[in-house]
Amino acid sequence: MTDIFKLLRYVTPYKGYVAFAVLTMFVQVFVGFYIPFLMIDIIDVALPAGDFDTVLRVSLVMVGLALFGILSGIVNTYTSQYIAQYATAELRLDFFRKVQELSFKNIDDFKTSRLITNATNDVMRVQMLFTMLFRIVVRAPLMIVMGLVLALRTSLLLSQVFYITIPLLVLSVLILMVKAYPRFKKVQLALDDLNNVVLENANAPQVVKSFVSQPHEKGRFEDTNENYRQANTSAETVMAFAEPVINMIFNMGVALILLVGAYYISQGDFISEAGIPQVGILMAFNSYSMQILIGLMMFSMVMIFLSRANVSASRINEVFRVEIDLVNPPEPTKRKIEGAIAFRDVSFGYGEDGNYALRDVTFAIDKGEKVGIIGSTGSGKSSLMQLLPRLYDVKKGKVLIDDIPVDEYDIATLRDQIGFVTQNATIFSGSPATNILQGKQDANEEELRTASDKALIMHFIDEQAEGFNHLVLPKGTNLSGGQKQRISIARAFIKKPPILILDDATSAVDAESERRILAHIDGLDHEPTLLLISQKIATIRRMDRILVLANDGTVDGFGRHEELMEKSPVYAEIARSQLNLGGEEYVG
Amino acid sequence: MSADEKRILTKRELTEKLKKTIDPTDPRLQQASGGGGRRGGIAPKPKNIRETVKRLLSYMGAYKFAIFAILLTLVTATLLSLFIPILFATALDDHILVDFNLEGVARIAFLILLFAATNSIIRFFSRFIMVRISQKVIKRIRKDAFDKLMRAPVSFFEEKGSGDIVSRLSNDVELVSNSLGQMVIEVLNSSVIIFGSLALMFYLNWALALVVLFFIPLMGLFTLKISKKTRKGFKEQQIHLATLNGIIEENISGLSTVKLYNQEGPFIEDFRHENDKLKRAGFMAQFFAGIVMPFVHFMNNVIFLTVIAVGAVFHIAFGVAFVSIGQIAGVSQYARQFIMPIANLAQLFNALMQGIAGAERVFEVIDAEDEYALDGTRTIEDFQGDIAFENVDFAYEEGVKVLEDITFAAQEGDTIAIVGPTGGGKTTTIKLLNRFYEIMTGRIAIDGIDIKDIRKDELRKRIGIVLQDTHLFKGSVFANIHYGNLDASEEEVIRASKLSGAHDFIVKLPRGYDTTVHEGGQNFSQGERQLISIARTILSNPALLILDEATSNVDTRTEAKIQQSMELLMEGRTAIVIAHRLQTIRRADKILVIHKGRLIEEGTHEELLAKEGFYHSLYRAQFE
Repeated sequence: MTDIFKLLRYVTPYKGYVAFAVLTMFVQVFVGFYIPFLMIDIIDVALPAGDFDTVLRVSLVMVGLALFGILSGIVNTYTSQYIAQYATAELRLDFFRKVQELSFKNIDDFKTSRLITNATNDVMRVQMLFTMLFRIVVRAPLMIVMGLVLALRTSLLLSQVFYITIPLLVLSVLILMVKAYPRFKKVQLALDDLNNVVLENANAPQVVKSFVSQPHEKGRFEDTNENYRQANTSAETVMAFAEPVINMIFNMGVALILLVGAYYISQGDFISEAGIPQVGILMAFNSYSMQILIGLMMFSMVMIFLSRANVSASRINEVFRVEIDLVNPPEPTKRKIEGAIAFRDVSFGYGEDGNYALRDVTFAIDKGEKVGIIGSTGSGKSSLMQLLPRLYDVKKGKVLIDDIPVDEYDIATLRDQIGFVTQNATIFSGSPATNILQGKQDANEEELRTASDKALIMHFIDEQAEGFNHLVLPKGTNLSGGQKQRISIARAFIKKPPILILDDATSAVDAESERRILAHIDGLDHEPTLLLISQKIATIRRMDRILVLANDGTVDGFGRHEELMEKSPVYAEIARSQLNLGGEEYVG
Repeated sequence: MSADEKRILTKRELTEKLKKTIDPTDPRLQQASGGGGRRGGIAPKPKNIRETVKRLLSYMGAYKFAIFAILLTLVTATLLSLFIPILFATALDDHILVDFNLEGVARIAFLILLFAATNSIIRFFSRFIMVRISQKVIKRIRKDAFDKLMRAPVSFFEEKGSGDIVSRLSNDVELVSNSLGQMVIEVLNSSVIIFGSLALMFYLNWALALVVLFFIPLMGLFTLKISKKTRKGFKEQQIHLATLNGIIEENISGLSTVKLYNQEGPFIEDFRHENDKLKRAGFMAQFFAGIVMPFVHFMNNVIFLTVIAVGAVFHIAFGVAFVSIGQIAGVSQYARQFIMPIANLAQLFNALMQGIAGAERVFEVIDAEDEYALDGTRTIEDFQGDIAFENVDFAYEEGVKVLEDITFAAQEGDTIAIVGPTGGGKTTTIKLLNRFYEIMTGRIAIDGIDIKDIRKDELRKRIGIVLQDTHLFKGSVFANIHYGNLDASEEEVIRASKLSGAHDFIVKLPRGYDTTVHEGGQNFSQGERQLISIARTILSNPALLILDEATSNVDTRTEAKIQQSMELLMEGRTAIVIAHRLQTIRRADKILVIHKGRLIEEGTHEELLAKEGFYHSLYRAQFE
C-alpha cells in the first residue's frame, strides 16, 4: 500500500477540506446511530408512560439531527469530491509534465503505450480511490467502531451475538473474494482472446474472403466464445453466492438478537422500573448490528479496491521516480547556428548492452551542403540523425555543429534551429495552421502561406472550406499519408532552419511532387544544410554528396554518386539492385 | 472562402470545435472514464425500445418457462423476506410486551431463520440458473453477430472501422448481458420491495402507512431532478475527458515531434487548460451524483422518525388498539428499507437503457447486409485466365464515380500492369475482380463468364491477392502460411515457403516456423510480412493473381527477393499488378494508365512512350 500513500501528497494541500470531509462523515455516521438510540427513549420510556412531551421533544431533536445529517452529507460530498477532482487534476498535470521531460531513452524503456495507460486508466483508478477516500474508506471503520461502542454500551449481554455474526460475515466475504478473484482474471483473459479474433477479422475481411476461410474463422470464434461463456458462468456462479449468504447472516443476526433478548428478559434483564420489557433496546441494538455488518462489508470492498489502486499508483510512481538522463549543460550556448556539421568517431546504441547501431562514424558536412544518406533498413540512418538535435546522447565520440559539441548547446535553442521531418509524419489535432505554426509560433500569415506553398500543401488547404482552419482530427486521421507528410514538411520549412533533416519524409508523396518539394529547398532564401534520408537512388543521387551506412552501422562511403559506385560496395549493390530491376526509377 | 480573409484560429478554439464531434454516450468512452454501468454512465437514447426488447425476448424464447419460473419464485422469495420485520414486530408485541412467552419468541426466531434461509436459497438458485441462461443467450447473440461479420461486404468493415466493430461485439454485448442477468432481477426485486412493503405497512397499520405514502412523490421528484442534473454533468465530463485523453495520446505517441519543435510548453499549457475544465466538470457531475446517498439517508431518517413520532402520538392519543408499539416498530422498519429501492430504480433504469442501446448496436451488426444474398450459382472447375472489363462504372457512394467506363481485356497468362498517380483508382480496379465491391454498370468476365454468375467463394478461391500492407494473424509463422490452404500438409507449406523465398529468413528465427506472430505482425518487417503473404498465396495455388508492388520502407535486398518471388508466382498465370517498378512495367504484356477514374492510355512500354502522352510525362518526371 506504500505507493498509494505516496500519492496522498496530492491530497495534503487540501487540509481544510480533508478536515471538513472527515468531520462531516463522522457526523453522518453519528446521526445514523444516534437516531435509533434516541428512539429507545420514546419506545421504552415515553410511550409506556404516555408522556407526550418527551415524544415531542425527542422527535424534534431527531429532526434536528436528520437535518444536521443531510447537511453534513452534502458538505461531505462537496469536500470529498472537490479533493478527489482537484488532487487528481494536479496529479495528472504533474504526470504529463514529467512525461514531457523524459528523454527518449526513458521513453524507450517505458514504452509509449504504457505511458498512455498510466496517464489515463491508472490516474483514473487513483481518482476513484481519492473519491472513495472520504466517503467509504473513512466511513466503513467509523461505522464498525461506533457501532461496536454503542452496541457494547447499550448492552454487553446482547453483544454476545457478535461472537457469531461478525466472524461468519468476515469469513464468508473472504472466501468469496479468494474464489472470485482468479475467476474474474480468467474472464478478462478470455475476453482479450475473443476481442483479438474479432479485431483480426474486422481488420482483414479481404484476407478472410480471399482465402474463403470463413468456416475456419467461425471455428476459432466458436472456441473463444465458448471459452468466454464458461469463464463468465464460473465467475458469476461464485458471485451468485454473495448476496444470499450475506442476507442470511444479516437475518441470522435479527433472529439471534430476538432470541437472546427474550432469554435475558426472562432472566429479569431489560425490564423498566415500571416492570415493562424494554423492547426499544432490542430494536436499537438490531439497527446497530446491521450498521456494523454493513460497515464490515464496505471495508472488505475497500480492501479489494485499495489493492488494485495500489498497482496503478506504483506504476505512476515508477514514472515519477525515473531519473532524466538527458539534461541541459550547466552553461548552455545559445548561439545562432551556421550549419556546419561534424561527427567524430561517434558510436551509439539504444541500450546498455553494447549493441551499437552506429560505430566509429566520422564525417564532416559544410554549411549549406546537401547530403543524402542511404543504407538498408536498420543500418542506423535515423539513429544518426537523432543525435543532431540531441534526442539521444552518443556513447562515444562527438557530434559537432559549427565546431561546438551539441551537448554544449541549450537544448531548446539547438532544436529550434534544426528542421526535422520524421519518418512517420506526426500531425496533431487542430488545423493545418496550428500544426505548421509549431515550427514558428509567431509567424505571420504570409510566412504560413509561403511554407505551405513550398511544401505543396497550399493547394489542399485552399480547397477546404475553412482553409487554414480546416479541422484536423487527433493524429490527423482525416488526412492522407501524403497530406500529413506535406504538412510536417511545411512545419519544418516555416522554421527557416539552418539545418534541415528529411528522414524518408516523402515516402507517401508521389515522385513528381517529391521532386518539386526538394527543388523548393534550393529556393529557400536561407540556404540550409540539408540531410536527406532516402531509399531511392534516383532521389539521393541529386544531392551534393552521399553518406552510405553499412549494415553494421559503420560508414561505407561518403562522396558523389559516381565515386561511390566504385568505392562503396554497399552503395553499388543498392544502386545495382534498383538499376537491375529496371533502369533508375519507379513510376508511381 | 480564402484563408487570408479569415483569422487563423488558435488550437484552443479548434479543440472546442473538436468537442462537438465527440459522442458522450459512446460505450468505449464510458469505460475509459471508469464510470460505466450504474453510477457514472449516461445512457444513449435507444431508437426503438419496443422492437429491441421484443428481439431480445425472442432470443430468450427457448428458456421462457425457466425464466418465468425463476421470476415467480423470486417474487415469492422477496415477499417472504418482507415478512421478517412483521415477525420481529409480532414477537415484540405478542410474546414479549403483552404476554411474555420465551417459547413463542423462539418459534418466531425460528420462522425468521426459515424465511431467511428459503429466501437465500431461492435467490441463489435463481441467480445460478439465470447466469447460465443469460450467458447462453449472450453467446448466441455474439455468434449471430460474428456469423454476419463473415458474410458482410468489405464496405461494411470500411464504413464502421475495426475499433467500432470490436466494441460492438464486446462492450455492447457486455451491456446487454448485464441487463439480462442482473438488472432484470434487480428491477423486479426493487419493485416487489416497494409495493410489498407498502402493502405490509397497510396491513400492519393503515394510518402509519398513509404517513409513509406521502413521502413517495417527494422521493420520486427529487430523484428525477437530480438525475437530470447528473446526466448533464456526466455528459460534459465525458466530453472533456475524451478531449484530454486525446491530448495525452497524441502528445505521447508524437513525442519526438513535440521535442523537436520545442512544443512541450504549449502542450503543457493546453493540457492544463483542458485539465482544469475536466476537473470542474467532473466535480459538478460527481457532486450531484454524490448527494443522492445523503439524501436517501436523510429520507430514511425522516420517514423513520415521522413514523415513530406520529405513531407515538397516535399511541398516546388513541391507545394501543389504534397503534401498538410493535406496529410502530414494524412500519418504521419497512419505511426504512423502501426508500433505497426507489433511488435504485432510477439508476437501474439508466443501466437498462444502456443495455437496450447496446443491444441495438449489436443488432445493427446482425442486420448488416449479407453479400451472399446476391451470390451467383455457377460452380467452375478452373479458370483459363481470360479477363475482360467491359464499360465498368463504379462508385463507393452514390453520385461520386470512382471509375468510369473502364474497358480492357487480358488473355490467359498475360501480365497487366496498372500505373497512374495515387488516388486515381488503381486499387479500386483490382478489388472489383473478386467482387469485394459491386460494379454499377458494365460487365466483368473471366473466361467469358460474367463474374456475377459465379459463386463468390469459388471465384475468390481462384484469385490470389498480395497486397502491399499485408495482414498477418496472431499465431505461428507456420499457421499464417498454412492459412492459404488449410488442407495442405506440412511439406507443402514448407515448399511454398521455399518458393517464396521466405524460408531463408524463417529458419533463421530463433524458433523457426513456430515463431509467434504478434498482433498485426508487428514483430516482422514489412518486407518479411510480404514474403510470408506470398508464401501463403503460393500455397493457395490461385488461377489468377492480383498484386500490389511495394513502394517504400522495404530495404533493397528484401525488395529484390519479393520481386523474384512475385515473378515466380506470375509464371503461367494471368496477373494484374499495380506496378511501381519499371522492370515489371516493361515486362508487362499491357500497361493500363488509370488517372482520375478513367483508363486514359493502354499499350506496351514502348508504345506508350512513343505516344508521348500522360505515361510519357510520368516517366520523364522520374528522370529529369
